[in-house]
Amino acid sequence: MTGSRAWARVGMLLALCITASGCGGSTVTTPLTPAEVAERYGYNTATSTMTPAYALVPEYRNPLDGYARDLLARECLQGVVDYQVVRPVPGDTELEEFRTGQAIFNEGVALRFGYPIFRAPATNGLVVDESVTMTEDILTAMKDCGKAADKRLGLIPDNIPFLIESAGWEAAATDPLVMSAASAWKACMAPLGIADLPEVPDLMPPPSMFPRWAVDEDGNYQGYLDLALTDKERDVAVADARCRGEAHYDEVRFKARVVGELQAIAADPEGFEAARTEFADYFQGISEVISALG
Amino acid sequence: MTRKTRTATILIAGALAVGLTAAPASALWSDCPSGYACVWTSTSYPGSPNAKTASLSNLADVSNRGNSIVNNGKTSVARYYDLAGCSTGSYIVMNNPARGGQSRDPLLSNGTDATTANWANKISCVKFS
Repeated sequence: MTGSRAWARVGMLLALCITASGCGGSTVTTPLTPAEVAERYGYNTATSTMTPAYALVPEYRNPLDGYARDLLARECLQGVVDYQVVRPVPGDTELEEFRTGQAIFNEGVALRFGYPIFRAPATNGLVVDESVTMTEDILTAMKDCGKAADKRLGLIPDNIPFLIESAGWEAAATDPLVMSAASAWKACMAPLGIADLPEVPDLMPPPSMFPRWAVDEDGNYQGYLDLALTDKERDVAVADARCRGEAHYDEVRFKARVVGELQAIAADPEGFEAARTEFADYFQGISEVISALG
Repeated sequence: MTRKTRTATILIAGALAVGLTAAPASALWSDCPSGYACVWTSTSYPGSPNAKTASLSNLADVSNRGNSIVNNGKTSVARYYDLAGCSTGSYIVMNNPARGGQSRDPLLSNGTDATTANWANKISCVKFS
């Protein structure tokens, strides 16, 4: 966190302590149960395809925020550099969930792409053409435009939903059912004889599947290599996807995340409600920019 | 201790401990080349970055050792993932500088502008998207 923002946050928390409870350990919130949270917001744990942080805070990590900022950048950078803007199209792509940015990996993806990390995506989010040399003048102008965007829009109030989402991921990482599903996946993958098979499917593909030339001068593995898809890679990827499905890994992990997120909301329902209001206010400015420039 | 009180206590203690120091004047986050996303194992971007990428980088030796980051890229955002592979799990986002918001962070131990969660020594993969 940058210094000025951190100070502002500490100041806000101190003010909250002084006015609300004196920071002496007394509560400023009334905890709920996870079931009460789900009921309050009409969140259906059986049918929802998004975790609560995304389903109940529609503005959280909503691509329209970035779109509005890109529109402002394009206008601000006129005459400096051609800043390209692509309007986000709602709906998951073949490889990524629209709202969450989580990768989609199934047998269809594996069959067609192998492991997508080895291939540059068709849309790579470029806003400045690859042929443009980024000079210091361009970079300085970009920074100035960024400051102007912040002045107009304010900063996105991500903290509470991010902490809730993080709580979900942490809950999933230690959930016995998730660990059991990971073990089942690993047993299913064992016949492939991959020496450095990871403990969880999230870490596929392992380092042994990267070509040696993909290791850069710092020793890190570069991806998006435009590698030709070999039969061997496809076979491993398809088996991986099938084993994940048979172990119900994604499904079990999603449920664990939902439980973890509901627990986090339940611990501080007022804070969550305040975050929802803050996001709605912030997005009024986003909508105004899109109406004017989109 | 309630979540809010605990958060406040941790933040205040953290503020006192590290002084919430802004990056020193000598910090050269611009050592991250234009068009790249970078990671340093130390705070405040000292010297050349320990990892950099113009597309996607699965970190090896510096995995789970990042303490300051910069996005100097040409794409909308750079994502910094907790898990290797840059495909799933928790991630933080740095905008390109023209978007505003945050494009670099000198001290991940006290979170980013978007979150108070500690992201020091946590990043395993970086990609543009």
